[in-house]
Amino acid sequence: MSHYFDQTATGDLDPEVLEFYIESLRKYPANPATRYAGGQAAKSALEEAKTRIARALNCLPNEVIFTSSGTESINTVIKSISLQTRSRDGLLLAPAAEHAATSQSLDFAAEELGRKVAYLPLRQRSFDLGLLEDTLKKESLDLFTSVYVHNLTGAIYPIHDMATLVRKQAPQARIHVDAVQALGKCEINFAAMDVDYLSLSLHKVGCPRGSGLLLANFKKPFIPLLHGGGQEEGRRSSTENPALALASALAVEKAVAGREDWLQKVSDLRKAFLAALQQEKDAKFTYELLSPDPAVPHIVPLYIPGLRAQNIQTVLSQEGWEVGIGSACSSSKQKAPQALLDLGLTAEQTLHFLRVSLSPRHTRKEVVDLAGRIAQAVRTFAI
Amino acid sequence: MENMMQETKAHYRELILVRIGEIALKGLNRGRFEKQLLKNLEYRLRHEGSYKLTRADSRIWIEAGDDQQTLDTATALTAVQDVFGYVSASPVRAFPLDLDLLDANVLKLAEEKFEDGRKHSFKLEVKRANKAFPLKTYDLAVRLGDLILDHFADQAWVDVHEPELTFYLEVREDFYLYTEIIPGRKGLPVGMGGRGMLMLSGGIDSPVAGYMMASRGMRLSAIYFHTFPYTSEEAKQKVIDLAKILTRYAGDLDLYIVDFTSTQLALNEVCPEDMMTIVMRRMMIRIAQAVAQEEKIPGLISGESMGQVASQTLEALVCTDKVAEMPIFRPLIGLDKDATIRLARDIGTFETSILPYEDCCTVFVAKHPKTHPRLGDAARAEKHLDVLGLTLEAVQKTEKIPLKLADNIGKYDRISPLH
Repeated sequence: MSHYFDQTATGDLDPEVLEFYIESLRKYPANPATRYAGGQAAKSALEEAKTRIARALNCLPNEVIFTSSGTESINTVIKSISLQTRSRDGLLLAPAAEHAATSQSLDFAAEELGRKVAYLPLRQRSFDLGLLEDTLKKESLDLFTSVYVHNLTGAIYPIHDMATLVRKQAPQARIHVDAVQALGKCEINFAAMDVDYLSLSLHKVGCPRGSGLLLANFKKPFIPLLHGGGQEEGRRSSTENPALALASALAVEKAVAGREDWLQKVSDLRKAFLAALQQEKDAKFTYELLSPDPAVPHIVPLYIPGLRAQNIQTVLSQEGWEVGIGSACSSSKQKAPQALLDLGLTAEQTLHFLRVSLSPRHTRKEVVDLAGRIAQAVRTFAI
Repeated sequence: MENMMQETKAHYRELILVRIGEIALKGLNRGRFEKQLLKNLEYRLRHEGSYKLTRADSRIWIEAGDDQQTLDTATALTAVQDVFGYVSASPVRAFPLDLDLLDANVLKLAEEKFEDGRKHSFKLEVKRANKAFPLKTYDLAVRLGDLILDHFADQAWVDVHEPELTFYLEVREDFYLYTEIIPGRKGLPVGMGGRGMLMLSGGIDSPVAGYMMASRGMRLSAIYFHTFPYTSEEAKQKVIDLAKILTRYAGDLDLYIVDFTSTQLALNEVCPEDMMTIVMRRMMIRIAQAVAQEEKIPGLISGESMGQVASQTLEALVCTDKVAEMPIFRPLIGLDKDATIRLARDIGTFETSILPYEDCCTVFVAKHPKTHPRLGDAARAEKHLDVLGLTLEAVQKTEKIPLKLADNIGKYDRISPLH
């Protein structure tokens, strides 16, 4: 019997979505690019999936592109814009502590494409709008990319305000939002957000892995990452998977529809968890909650000085309780993850970063139990 | 004449000849050594197909099992190359003492060697152990040399000093014809050198130390100290994987995994930080030898070299060895790290050893350990330690995992890193 508290890494697989996926795999085996009946049926399924997603996220169906993952979507935008704005040689700007898909793609743009890249330092682990405004006054921008919800701290960034600022000061720049952790937690209304591209990852909301989305304003074309058969109107070549598209659509719909309910349930669980944790505080167990405000309720980032996070994880895992960590015990050869360092932690501190993810599947009793287990692990093995 | 030769088709039995060198010097022990080598070869081949092994005149012959049509030479050769105790091996074509057959076979073999259409220098090397055979060594060499030159005039030329190809012919109760001599790992057959308990960690050195002692005929057991939860499951798995790789060379071995946690925590409580590494090593030796004694293993094996890390200065080694009641074999003591790495790559443990899962969490290791400790320092550091109690407790909390050669053949060929 396992108790899974790492949904931020990957969500619990939704049985309804899984069933639908398998059923659809059987129903639409043909290649949607072909002209016989089977192919046409598959194509319609694909289009149906796009229509459903478009309705749920308020975009146009032809703005929906199926990718393999959030990482692919992010790579596509950053590499593409880096390539196509090379001659303008403007700045590629992002906040610090972004997910590796963003930071590594930007590194690539800097190293291999000679682009200027800059990261805005965070203020108290959250986004600094003032700093953005100042920076925009001084620099000519080609791309602004940011997370919506941070995967380590749960911080909710003010992306609507960010977009407004960028549009005003840098109307030529493209705006990309990494909403991988935001689906089902924060409102995603593509038309209202006034951004050009949005990356999503469906395995965070119960869909099987291999399912990503890129929402792309159809008035803002981009060089595709994948060349080939010209699928997705030339924007992402690769044989499509109508079954996974349909499953993704269902997952998106459920996430969006269930958001309020999710928020309610998880907020309650968070209160219970934090209360229980607070109760456990004593001479041998102490911690610091690293959530900034505002933040999503399901991510609980904890700094626990007494015992390394990886060791806590090992102890809990032995009994079937699974939590996430920031960084594994590093040998002298491995560097601490940049994102954690950007959050203001020292290299040693990154080893003490524990991340608990709550979900409506958990019960009150369970989260209280978890708090106790974490505390007990630290008391037993702290040195 | 030519017609007659073409009528005789080349047929032969395929065998592998294993040459026993060093142990042939052992005099009265020779029989025992050869028997052990045969046994080890048989054991290794048992899991790779059906073979028949025979022993004669300081040589071992491997041929296809009675239920087989042909010998799977490639598989057998690869398999036996992991076995200690012989000097070299050759895939051999054996056939009766008939000159026409000899000609046909030599031509067939030459045809295979000259198939690429290029020029090759060659020579003949004939050994006539059968004095009853009519043609003398020199005559045979000339006959066959001419034969090859006639048939491969534009490709073959003779070079008796540094030929590319050598055709070896042995004249015994049959003809034995071959071109390749493949060096073995030498050493002594495992089983001749007693038993040793290898102190195995996830690092590069200890698996190599185990390999080297196995090459002197020592049967291995291994012991690893796990400190849950400070050392990860991956680190433990890495050590198990390393032990499994060693079974290829050392045969079946038992891996003992010690729950070192309470010992480590006790040490952490009472020992001065700068003596931690030394005291840890002393406790490990105490526990390892206790386990070894229970299993009637008379010696420990360690991968330590001199001067590599803080715990490996002469003084540190003197300090740790003080608690040993049995010999500690350190085959790497005089080796340069480069040599050790080369060996590790050769035996296939390097790629696994460098995986970044620590076997001893750096939490416990002092930043500035004492590099030249005195015996008094160690004794003082252990003053408040219940050495006996902790040793007994650790021995009791030791798990044994028997690892079999058969389960691990061919499974651990990792791709080398790109540098």
